[in-house]
Amino acid sequence: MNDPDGRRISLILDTSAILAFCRGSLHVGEVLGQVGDDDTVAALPAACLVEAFQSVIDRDHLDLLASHAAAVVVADGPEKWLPWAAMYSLTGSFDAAAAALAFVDYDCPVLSARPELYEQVGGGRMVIPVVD
Amino acid sequence: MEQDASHDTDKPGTALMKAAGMTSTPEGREKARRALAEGRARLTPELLNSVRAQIGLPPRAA
Repeated sequence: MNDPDGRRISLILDTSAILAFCRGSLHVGEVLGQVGDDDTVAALPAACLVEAFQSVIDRDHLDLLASHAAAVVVADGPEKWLPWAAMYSLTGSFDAAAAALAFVDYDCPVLSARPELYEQVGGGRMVIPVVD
Repeated sequence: MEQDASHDTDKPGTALMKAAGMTSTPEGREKARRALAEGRARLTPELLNSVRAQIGLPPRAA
């Protein structure tokens, strides 16, 4: 599936992956590098950016990621509130539920440093773990 | 975070890494490529529809 500009979304970053990028994770950087150089983009669920904003130390990196051409901020509309709620029941986390719902929307993996959050969602098979 | 003109010819992924002060390596890029390929290989239509069913959505049309 594509973003509003017609670019193909090929990866989702959850809060933990966003924070790892902001801390300078080379693994996250390389994965984003590969996504961008493949002429696709990484989706950043708005709920995950909001959560990351609360604890990030380097806001410059957060701003860079959120505004860069290699990424796009995504958010579901109000019609998705019930599937989002159901996903929240599975993940136990509002922002992880947003990332898992983005997987359903865009049919692409979720990069996460907390794969255990998604164990109840299809066995967690859509997660690419951050490895540093 | 500064970007100079030499970055204008970089693809977006490389440009993002440079802007973040990160240096790509062949080993790091290969590891990333493998992780993405393995991750995508796990995303079968059956998995997607199974997760859709978990949250009350109908299966995606083939």
